[in-house]
This record gives sequence, C-alpha cells and structure tokens, in this order.
Amino acid sequence: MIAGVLAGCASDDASAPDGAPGEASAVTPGALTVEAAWARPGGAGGMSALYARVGNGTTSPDTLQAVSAEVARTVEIHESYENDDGTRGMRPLGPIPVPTGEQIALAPGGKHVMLIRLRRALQPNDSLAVDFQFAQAGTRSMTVPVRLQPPQ
Amino acid sequence: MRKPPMPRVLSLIAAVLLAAGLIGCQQPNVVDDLSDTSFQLVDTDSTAVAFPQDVAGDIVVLGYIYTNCPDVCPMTTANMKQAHQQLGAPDDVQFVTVTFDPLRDTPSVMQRYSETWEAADSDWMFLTGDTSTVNRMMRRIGIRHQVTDTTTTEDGEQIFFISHSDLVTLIDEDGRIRQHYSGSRTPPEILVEDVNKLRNGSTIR
Ligand SMILES: [Cu+2]
Repeated sequence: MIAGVLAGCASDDASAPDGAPGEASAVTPGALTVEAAWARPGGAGGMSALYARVGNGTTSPDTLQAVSAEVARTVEIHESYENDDGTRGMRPLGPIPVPTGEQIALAPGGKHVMLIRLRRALQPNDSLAVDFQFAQAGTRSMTVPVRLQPPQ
Repeated sequence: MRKPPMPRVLSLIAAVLLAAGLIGCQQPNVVDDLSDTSFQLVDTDSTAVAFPQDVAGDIVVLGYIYTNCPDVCPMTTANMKQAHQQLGAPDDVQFVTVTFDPLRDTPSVMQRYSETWEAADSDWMFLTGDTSTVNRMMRRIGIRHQVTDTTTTEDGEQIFFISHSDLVTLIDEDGRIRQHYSGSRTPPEILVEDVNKLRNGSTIR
C-alpha cells in the first residue's frame, strides 16, 4: 500500500551505511586500528549505539569478539536489517571477522555495538570508556565521544 | 442561471491550459485523508493533543520512532532535524514525532528524547498515548511495528526490539497525507523541497 508511493529513497547512495564498503578503505600497514569511534546519546536506563571503523593492516586475519563499556549493563554486537516488507529491525550478531587488508564499518543502519541499559545518561559532548576485544590484537581501550551525528 | 456559452477560441485555450495543468483545480495526489479522524495523544507535558485536528492549518512532517532504537530511528530524527533547520523553524510547518512503543515511551521519556535532540520547541511535538490509540493510528497510516527480537541482560531482564516501518510522512494543511518517504534514507533537502511545493500549492511528483 505504501511501497508504491515511497519517494526520495533512491537519490544518492544514502542506502549504504555511512562509511560502508565501497569507499576507499585505507588500512594502516602492520596495524589493527579502531578509528572514528562515536556513540549516540541515550537516557539513563535506555540504549545507545556505538560506531567505529576497524581496519586490519596486519598479515593475520582477526576477529572483533566483543566490546565492553562500563556505562552499559549489557553490550552486544548488533546489526540492523531490512525485511521484505520494508520494515527494519535489529538483532544480535556474533563476533565480526576482520580480514587482512580490510576495513569493517560499524555505521548507522548496519553493524553497530548496542549499549543496553545505560547506567547514566549520555548527552552530546559526553564521553565514555570502551574496550574493543580482538582475538589476535587483544584489547583496544579508548575514550569515545557522544554525538548526534556521525563525525565528518 | 445558465451561463452564456464561452466563445469557442477561449474555451479551446482553456482546454489546452487545463490539459497542461495550468488552471483549474488540479487534484492533489492524496494518499489518505486523515481529517475525518482524530487520535487522542499526549505531548511531553501530558497535555492532550488531538491529531491531526490540533495541527490543522499547518503542513506536518510526521516521523515514527521508539526511543529504545538507537540505530535506525535516530537517522530518521536526524533527517527531520536537518529539514527543520533548513526550513528555519517556520510558523507554518509543524514537526511531529510519535512513538509506536507507548508503554516504554512515556511523556517524560519523550521529553528527554526531545531535549537530547535539542528539539524541545513549540514547532516540534513528541507524542505518545495509550496503546490502543497509538496502534489504531499506526494501522490507519500504515506503520507496521512488531516485537521481533529480544535479548536478556546479564541481570536477567528481557529487552525487546521492534521491527518497524521506516517512514516519514508529509501531511498538508487540510490533514491529508500527501507523501510517505523513507525515514532513515531520505535526504532532508527532499523533505524541504516538498514542503515548499505544498506551500506553493503544487503537486508532489
Ligand atoms: Cu542494535
């Protein structure tokens, strides 16, 4: 009923998550990197999503196994998906492989890290401590800003 | 009261202009006319809002969210926010965000959401309501929402996620739905362009 009148969806490639494959993905030779991480605002007791670009410039394949953040009671790796009827949802996703020479985008509308049951509210310009746990590279700890919009 | 016949040349010109859509009442492309119905919702301060009556006379940009949706729904709210900014917070356009998860999204939760988005303005309403009214409104407009995925937190609490239509709706001054758009994927410029078309009385596509 609605599908026939949808408009404005096809202009530019806004359907791809920001920073999704297709962009020239430069990995840093010899390094596994987590870049441009940011998180959405959320209320205390509520939810947030966390995004980043993970690049594997090493010679060994790696896997993002888990993410932890003290600000949330539960943290899950998620993906958003689209059903045949155009509805969209999200579900837990297992560990994410990060092959050699590739960049994996955790970006709005695609793969993301869910911060579930926030212990405190996250407002724009706040920051939070996050650990990314990799099978090979170990733990990458960082401080991540809270933003309304992706960093440019 | 019979009108004298129009001179042939004039009527010919009129016919051509009509065909070109330049004069006469060109029928707007209406998806659904909501002016015959009323949904009793509540604003963030718990005041009653009858939708769409209480916003009649304004062009309405209507988005649908639930606040426990931090990935896709903020893309919709961000697009609406950018359209709102590009329009310069005008008097003749009312932005409305309504939740399809009213049990969790109480007026105070919606208030917090509006503050987070720095959108707690008189020209942007954040509405919730009782479950049956919200469900009736969503069904009428064609917004699907269904609990599809659940997760259990470390302390045993069940959290549920909702699969939902990803839409933003443009409603004219007379309460008629004129167009649906992808909520998360429509560039705000397109919303602004179509608001301007409604202002000029021209058709949208
Ligand atoms: Cu998620």
